[in-house]
Amino acid sequence: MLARIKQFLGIGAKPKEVPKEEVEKVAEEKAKPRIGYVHLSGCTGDIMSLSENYDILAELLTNMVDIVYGQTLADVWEMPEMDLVLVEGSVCLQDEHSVKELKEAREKAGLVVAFGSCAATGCFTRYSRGGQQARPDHESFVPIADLVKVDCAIPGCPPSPEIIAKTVVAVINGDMDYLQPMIDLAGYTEACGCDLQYKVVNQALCIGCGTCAMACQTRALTMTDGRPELTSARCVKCGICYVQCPRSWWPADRIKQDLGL
Amino acid sequence: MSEKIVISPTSRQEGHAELVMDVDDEGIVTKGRYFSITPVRGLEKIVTGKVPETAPVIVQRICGVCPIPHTLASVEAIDDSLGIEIPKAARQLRELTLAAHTVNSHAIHHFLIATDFVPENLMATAINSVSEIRKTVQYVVDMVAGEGIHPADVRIGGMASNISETARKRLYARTKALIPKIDAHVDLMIGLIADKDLPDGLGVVNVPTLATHPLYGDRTKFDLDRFTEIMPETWYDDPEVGKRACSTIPLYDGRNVEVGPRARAAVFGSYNEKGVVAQHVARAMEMKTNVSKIVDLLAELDTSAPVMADYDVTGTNKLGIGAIEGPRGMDVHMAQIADGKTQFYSCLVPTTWNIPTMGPATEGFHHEFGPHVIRAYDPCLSCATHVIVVDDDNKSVIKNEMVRI
Amino acid sequence: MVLGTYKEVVTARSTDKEIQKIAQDGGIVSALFCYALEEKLIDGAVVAGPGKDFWKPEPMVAQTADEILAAAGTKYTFSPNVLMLKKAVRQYGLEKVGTVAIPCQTMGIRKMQSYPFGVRFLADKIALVTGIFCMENFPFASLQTFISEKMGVSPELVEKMDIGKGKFWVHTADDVLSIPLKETHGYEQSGCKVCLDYVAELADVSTGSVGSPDGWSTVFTRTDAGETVFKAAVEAGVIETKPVDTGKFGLEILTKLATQKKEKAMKEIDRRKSMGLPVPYKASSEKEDPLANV
Ligand SMILES: Cc1cc2nc3c(=O)[nH]c(=O)nc-3n(C[C@H](O)[C@H](O)[C@H](O)COP(=O)(O)OP(=O)(O)OC[C@H]3O[C@@H](n4cnc5c(N)ncnc54)[C@H](O)[C@@H]3O)c2cc1C
Ligand code: SF4
Ligand code: SF4
Ligand code: SF4
Ligand code: SF4
Repeated sequence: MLARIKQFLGIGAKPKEVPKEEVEKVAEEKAKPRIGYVHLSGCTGDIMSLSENYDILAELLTNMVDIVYGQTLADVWEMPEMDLVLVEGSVCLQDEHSVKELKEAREKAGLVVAFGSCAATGCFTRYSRGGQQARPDHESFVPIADLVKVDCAIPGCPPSPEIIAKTVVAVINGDMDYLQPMIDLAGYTEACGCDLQYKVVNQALCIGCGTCAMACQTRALTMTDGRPELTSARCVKCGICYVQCPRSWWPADRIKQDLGL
Repeated sequence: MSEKIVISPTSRQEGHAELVMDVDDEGIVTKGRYFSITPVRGLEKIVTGKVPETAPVIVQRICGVCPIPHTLASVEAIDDSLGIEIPKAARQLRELTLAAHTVNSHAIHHFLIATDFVPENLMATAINSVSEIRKTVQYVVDMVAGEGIHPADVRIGGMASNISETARKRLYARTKALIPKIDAHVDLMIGLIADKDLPDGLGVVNVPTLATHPLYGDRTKFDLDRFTEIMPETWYDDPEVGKRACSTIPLYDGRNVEVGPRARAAVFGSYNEKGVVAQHVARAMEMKTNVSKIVDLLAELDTSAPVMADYDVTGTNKLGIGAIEGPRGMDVHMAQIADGKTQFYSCLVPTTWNIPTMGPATEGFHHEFGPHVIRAYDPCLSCATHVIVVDDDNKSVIKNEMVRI
Repeated sequence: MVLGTYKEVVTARSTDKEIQKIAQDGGIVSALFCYALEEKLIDGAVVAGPGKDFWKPEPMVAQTADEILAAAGTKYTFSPNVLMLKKAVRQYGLEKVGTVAIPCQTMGIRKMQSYPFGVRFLADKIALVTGIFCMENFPFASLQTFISEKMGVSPELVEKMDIGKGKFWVHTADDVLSIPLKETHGYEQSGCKVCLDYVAELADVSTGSVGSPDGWSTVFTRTDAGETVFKAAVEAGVIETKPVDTGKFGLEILTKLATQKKEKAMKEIDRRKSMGLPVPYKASSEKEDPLANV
């Protein structure tokens, strides 16, 4: 799938930031990828975050990509073939429509992107347990990778406007290096603040830098004696703390390139 | 011959809903039913049994378009249940957060209705104007509430922290500079909406309006005794709709009501206009009042004042109420805290109030105006997108133009 | 390249007498932040401020020269400075933030800038990352052990701590005590054992004592931004420089220590990998340059 997109778009320059001129240049030079947006059990926060790319939003929506499907943004009724589909929200196993739509998206899209933590890790819907009116039967919400093959994930609750813009530009440029961590993260579906303890502190890797606590979007993390302290009452299982930790994965080449070193 | 038109989901709004309209031979809607088909993630049940601190974090994720009212209604309900009196500066910061969010949310609505009203040649201008407004007010939310989309620093008992003098001055200067831009934007939008020449009386529906406060929200104005909630099966005359609908029907004095900017203007501003255009106008005007409120609050704020009350989290099982006037209307959360745990939690979100009102509001006009009426309420059902537009009898796909008018 | 990519390396110190007195080495960190604040190149800096406990630092946002100076001096235990960056751009409302960072902290910051998954509107507000060299760091209880148990000094009396010349030093009002570093060995945090970065290879400017005489610091300028600020500070007379000693007590020792650190860490990385334990870096066999910072 990735190869197809790459071929379709051609491999271009690798932009280091996403300044306006760059975006315009990219928009001029490249064929526009056909992007769809499927909204399952999410809160729309992810698409709101996308829309906070203020300086490039008009450009993004009108010239950089073709939004071919997505009810928040376009009046299109039947799911077309898409180069890439952003799926927001986890999928409710008791809701036939959601399951069907996800499977259809998988069939019709070259790339399926788990957009936001609900789609990627289940996020707070991992706590769902049904029992609420008017549909007490809706109790099982799972990350989309539990049902279909996911090509890449952009976790975050919501993902930042910047990472969304960077990803779109990388997709347009066929910049596979940049996308590699997101491809790897497609497999990270069981996330929790506890991961810092299991996968970093327990593994003798924590160095007390505080990046996890900075990154946590709910402020579920503080630092005690140089180690992350999780207030599980605030944790939504978005996985961002572990994703941002410098000791989880380390994109050395990319960083040097971005810094010009 | 009467026909049934189904739009599922109605587009360019947040969430997943269906509009089912009975139409006569002329295509005029004789009966409209609007209902949510969003899977129920069960947030109220998620937070029940957990410590109170969890509730605002989870319930703000009801919706990423209006997370601020949910957060505020949540902390206000819990403050009420625990008998907490928050410090003055905390209240100011909460009001600041809501005012900035309201401007942002209304601007987003303009973005979503742009294809209805904005001609192609003005499209980029309109989107850029929306972006510029949003950028400034979201900057306020980021700083005051910690995160622009899911605010982390609005807390039970107050706020996680006050802002610095640097932040206060910076925000003051920027929001003040925004005032003329908002004025221009509002004029542009109101003008374009008038240019559309929508039929007189479109969307007018004779139901009471409900609002608790012109801008922020006031729990004392929401009388729980006058509130009842019924199941969709009882409300909708069509058993199929009743079964598929995913949200309960809230009533006030046994009736469905209208909430939102027009309702607020009617209750507190003696604004008498009704219908689609009136809703758009009232919404746009709120952008002006809120931005001046932001400037006033920033001028008054004492950045050295405390923003967190001392409180005991045990609770007495008192039913706490938080009523917040969100961009889309009154958002009421109810919480009971005892033994340090949430024993009961319930949210009456703005769109839920409007759901039973939106369907009938489509009646009496051609069904092509249906989605227009729905969008004037800026419904926010936050969930799945799913596309089928079928004529119930022959299952044919109804054309795109339907919502374009 | 064991010292990372850099534009220039010099020996330098602050020309301000007060900074010279209270700073750890040449006072480069403090002088640079004070200058950048003054010139509005930054509107605040995250530093390791004094905490409630003696020598247990708390990250803080400094917006004045006085606040920068109150945080001068090295504390050999954790100060999770990266954590404060969020607050600096949120409640503090800063838009050009400076921060002091040990190498592993620069890694957290740089990774966030390249991949800001969950971090909105922060990456572009980091204006100046001043890196400091680091061989290892200690849990607070380790420091207490050296100071109270091994040296018999009450921590409140300590005015300065330092590592140098193979020893861990403690200065009190009337005494200078030391223990050999082999006594501190084994008390460092274990995360440091796989750390390949001695000289803050990803900072804008990095500095440390090794390679320069007492009271002076070795300074690398690395990025364009770092070079610009440092040069401007030198030109303004806030910092004075002299050529770095390329000999035995200069770059040679620095290179030697950096190489030793990397070699030791590489061994540990390989060992951990052979045990099946996770490490974010490649094994030596997978790398072109086993001493590269990955
Ligand atoms: C744990 C540790 C190990 C070090 N190891 C070496 C070494 O092996 N070789 C070497 O040459 N140099 C080392 N240094 C750096 C050295 O001690 C000085 O900090 C550096 O030379 C800067 O001195 P200065 O006079 O320019 O800074 P000053 O003007 O004194 O300012 C020092 C700055 O560092 C900050 N700081 C203090 N403690 C910490 C901390 N724990 N974490 C983050 N920031 C902190 C302070 O807030 C202050 O802003 C180490 C520093 C630390 C913190
Ligand atoms: S990940 Fe967060 S922002 Fe995205 S849909 Fe889920 S709750 Fe909303
Ligand atoms: S980000 Fe990782 S290494 Fe840094 S403090 Fe958190 S867990 Fe430890
Ligand atoms: S601790 Fe914070 S960042 Fe980590 S999973 Fe929980 S909510 Fe997400
Ligand atoms: S040795 Fe490396 S990991 Fe340890 S504190 Fe220093 S920079 Fe961080």
